[in-house]
Amino acid sequence: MNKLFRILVFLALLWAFSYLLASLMFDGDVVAGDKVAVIPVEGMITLNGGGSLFSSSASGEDIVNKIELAESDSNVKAIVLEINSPGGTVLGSKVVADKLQGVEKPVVAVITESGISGAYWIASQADIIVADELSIVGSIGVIGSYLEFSGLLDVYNVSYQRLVTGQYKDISSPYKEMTSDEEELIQERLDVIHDYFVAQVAAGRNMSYEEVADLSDGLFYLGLECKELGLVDEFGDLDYGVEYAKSLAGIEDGSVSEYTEESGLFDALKGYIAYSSFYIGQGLGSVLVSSGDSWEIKV
Amino acid sequence: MKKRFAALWRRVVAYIIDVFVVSFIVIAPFSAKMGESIEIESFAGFFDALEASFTTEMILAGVIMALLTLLYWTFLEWKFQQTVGKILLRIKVAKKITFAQAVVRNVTKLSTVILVLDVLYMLFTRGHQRYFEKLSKTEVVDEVVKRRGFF
Repeated sequence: MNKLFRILVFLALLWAFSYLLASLMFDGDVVAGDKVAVIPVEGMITLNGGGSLFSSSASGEDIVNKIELAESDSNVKAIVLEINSPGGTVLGSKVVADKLQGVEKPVVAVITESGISGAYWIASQADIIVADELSIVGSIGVIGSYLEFSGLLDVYNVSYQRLVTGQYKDISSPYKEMTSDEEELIQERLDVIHDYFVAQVAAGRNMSYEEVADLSDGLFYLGLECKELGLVDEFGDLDYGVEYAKSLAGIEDGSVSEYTEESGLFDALKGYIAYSSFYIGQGLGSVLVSSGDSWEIKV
Repeated sequence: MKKRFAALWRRVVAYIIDVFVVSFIVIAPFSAKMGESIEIESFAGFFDALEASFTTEMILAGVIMALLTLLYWTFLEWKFQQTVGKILLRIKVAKKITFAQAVVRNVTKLSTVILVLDVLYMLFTRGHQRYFEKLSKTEVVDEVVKRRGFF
């Protein structure tokens, strides 16, 4: 082995050792002083995330990981959820809401532009909800609607060849008309999710089930109305929310640590594929290539 | 063959090159990871971050970086008589040295103040020998390049 090669090997080892030590000491860890962790909840919430090159979405699992990271960091004294989301899938929202119930540090949810449906479910589990007077809030309800194209197929003399092993296997197929029996079964399940959603919001907001149920017609409210309705506690922006979080944590100073991640090209491409897949079943063109399995219930 | 002490400018340039190498190999991984952990949002926040940087982890990181930096010079000069900068500038430690000698001649790199004093000393000595080189009984000379050819 010649000298130059051995020197290069040494340099590579030294770099790897430095990187390893630095990672062990600092990776994902916030080390400096008292901090308020700001965790973004932006875009449509799904369990595993996904987004496109031009739009963002939130992964429930990622948000949970960030909450755990903030919880385990002794320098983080409070958590702020920066919410701007139209909601998302049931489980995507539920995992975050469930996680927040066990958090001991003060949690402030700041709804910037919108925090509706599943996003409001998440916000409702915070200690305090801050929103702008004109933020869009609420829309407590469940949606399982989809486009049905059996009539269109008839026009083009295309028939749906039904081959199933179970009576309800293709219950949400857009290629056939839903029977009243099937509609009833799906509605029953939507009602179960709805009740669960309402109960969770009621518990999170210290309201009665009936109070929340009265507001759970799916209508969204402006921040102004929400304060009277009990859906929001304070008016303000992110800075106000951070200051409020500091006061809840009993700290005067403290920096803000944003729990964001920069995505690389691979992540963007992965997200694009995931997001495209998600929209199958939602749009007219997508439905034509959808098997119907992508039908999802959203909150 | 009579040894020829390395020119001062070669030593300075070699040192600068080595500083770049160390910055990439040792300092960069730490500063990247540490940079993620301190966020400065305002001028006032700078002082908060500065104050906050005096944590146990930061001090420990500083010590580790200093030791790894020392290891770079010490190991290479002990094993090969040359660092990357010295290879490029074709200079080397005059003869095979022990690990202890390598440590002594490079220990000043742990402290900028001592290093500056050490370097000032070399301006006034024969063969531009630093004080700690004198202590370690080592010298830096031009590398004799063996050429093959017709002449």
